[in-house]
This record gives sequence, structure tokens and C-alpha cells, in this order.
Amino acid sequence: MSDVTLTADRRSETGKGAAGRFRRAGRVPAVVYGLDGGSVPVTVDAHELQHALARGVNSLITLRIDGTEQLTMARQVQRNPLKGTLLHVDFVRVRADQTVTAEVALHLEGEAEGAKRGGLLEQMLFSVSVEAKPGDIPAAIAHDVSAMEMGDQLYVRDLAVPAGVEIRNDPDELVAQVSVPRGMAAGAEEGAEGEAGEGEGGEAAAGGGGGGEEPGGAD
Amino acid sequence: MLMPRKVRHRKVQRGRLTGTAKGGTKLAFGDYGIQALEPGWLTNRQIEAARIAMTRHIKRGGKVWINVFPDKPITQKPAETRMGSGKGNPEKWVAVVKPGRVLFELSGVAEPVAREAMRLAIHKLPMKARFVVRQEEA
Repeated sequence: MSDVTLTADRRSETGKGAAGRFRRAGRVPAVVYGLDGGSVPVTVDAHELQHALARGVNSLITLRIDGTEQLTMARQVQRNPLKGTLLHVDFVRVRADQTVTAEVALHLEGEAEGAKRGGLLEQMLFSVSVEAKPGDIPAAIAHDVSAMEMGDQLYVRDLAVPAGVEIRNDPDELVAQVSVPRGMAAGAEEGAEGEAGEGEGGEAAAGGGGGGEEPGGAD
Repeated sequence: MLMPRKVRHRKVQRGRLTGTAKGGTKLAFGDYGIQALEPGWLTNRQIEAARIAMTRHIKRGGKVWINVFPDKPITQKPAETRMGSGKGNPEKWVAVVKPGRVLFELSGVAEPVAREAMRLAIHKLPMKARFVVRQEEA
């Protein structure tokens, strides 16, 4: 069921002084909570925890505390912003048959059609909150954006998720869009105006420009 | 040039630069960023110089975010002035930067282009800084 098993030592000392001593000794202060067990301050080996988290933030971790095993997930991981070393971890107890909420990374794959033609693919949302059984939580949600044209927008409702996984974000939340660069939009307008004044030859070209904008309007 | 539209106090004390940044240490908008490795004051002129260096290198496409704002007025006494006679005049605006703070972000360009653009921008900054890339991790 679980990916990794770690041995956690119960700690009686709390506060920044004690936490610093644990970190210098190669252990990471952590806390285990959730379900009906109450909050238990523990320490975990930093090296082993680093490896466990490298397998995926939402991977299941079995903690062995005082001989008893508890199935957990790392909910909040605090790191030193410069060194990246672990400072503190919140472990939340989970049950394999009960759904939990977790943050899952969002990957946009492929190169958008609009981006190839000079547009800019802007990603607004980098992770989504999902509800699923602990074993069903995906490592990441991928979405192919290669069909996105200039002006197209991708919403949370458009994301495909595996069976048993439900996204909790607002369905109308914007995930990504292919925007038209300011210079390009201004250039297109100027071009259209100039061409309209020129006559028939200009009209044909302006029509081509209008064609370029169509996908955005259609969406 | 970035500066506040209006302020409550025209002159403020210098303050201390201890510890690391408490927030703004991760990329929030773009795929690449510049992260400060030392504390310091970043003036609005330096921010502008770094922004220009980046935008000129990426030429077309791409989007730049500036994550810090110079909201602290710095005063200076005129040259060859005797001490006393009160605090000097506000001369420049700075952003207070602590280690770990992400200063600029960039997206919409390939990594080698972003790396070079940000290398040029880092040369305009008064503190050591590094190029960072978005990565999955809690």
C-alpha cells in the first residue's frame, strides 16, 4: 500500500532551539496529526525523508512510531529558501479507503499552435486541489495544449482527470491562455487600418488578418 | 521608473537587514526567476536596468514580472555639507531584499534564452543572485 516506510522518533522538546538541535543532528522536526490520533511531535531522518519526498510529494509514507505503523501523507513541507534543506514537515494520517484532499501539479504539454504563430502561452494555475483516495492521487495532471490557437483559453473544467479523482477548484477558473503580444496586436490593427484605406488589394490582406483572429473570437 | 505615488512618511529610518526572506521565495507567475542570495537595497534604477537587459535580450515574446517594489525612500545630504541641520533630502527609492527573495520572473521563452537574459540582468543587481527554474515540489 505504502511507497516508503520511515522510522519516526517521538520528541518531547519543541520550539526553535530544540528544532535547530534536531536539524544539526541530521533529523527533521515533524508533526503527525489527523483522524483520531491527536497531534504527535516527532523527528525523522533528514536523508531518508528527502528520498521519500523525491518520489512525489503526495506519495504515501508509513511512519513507524513507537512500534506502531501509521499511514500518512506529507501535507506541508517547509524548506530553507536558499539551501533547499528540509526544515519541518506536517504528516497527515490517512486511511486507504477514505478520500483526502491534496495539491497536484499541473503540466501543460506540447507547444500551442497560437504560440508557434507568435502568441504567448500564459499559465495562471500551476497546481489544482484534488479529492481522491490516497492511492489514486496522481503525481501530476497533464494536459495537451498543442491545439490551442491564439486567444484560446483553458479552464479547470477542460482538464481530464483519472477515474476516482475529483478536482475541487472552481470549474470556471482559468488555467492557461494564449495571449496576443501587445506589439503584435497593435501592428495588426495598424496594418488593417492602412490596408482598408488602400482599397481592394488591402482588403484581401485584411481578410487574412481577420482569419488569424477568428479562433480567439470563436472561443 | 518605479516609485510610490504617495507615501505616509517622506523620510524613514534605515532599518536592519537580518535573516532570510519570509515570503516570495518561490516562483509565482513564470517558469524562470532570479533569486537573491544576499541582503541589500535594490534601487528603482537597478530594477529598471535589469528589466531592460532582460527584455532586450528576449526581443519578442516572453513576459517579465517584477516581484519587488521600491517603496522605501533613501535620503542623502548634499556634498560638502556640515553635519547637523536635520536629515537629508529623499534622493532615491529602494526595495528591501533579503536572501531567498525572487526578484524577477520570466516565461514564454526557451530556457537557454531565459538563462542568458537573467545572467545579464543579474549583473545589474547590487547583490549576489541566481537563476532558478520552476520545479515540482511542495
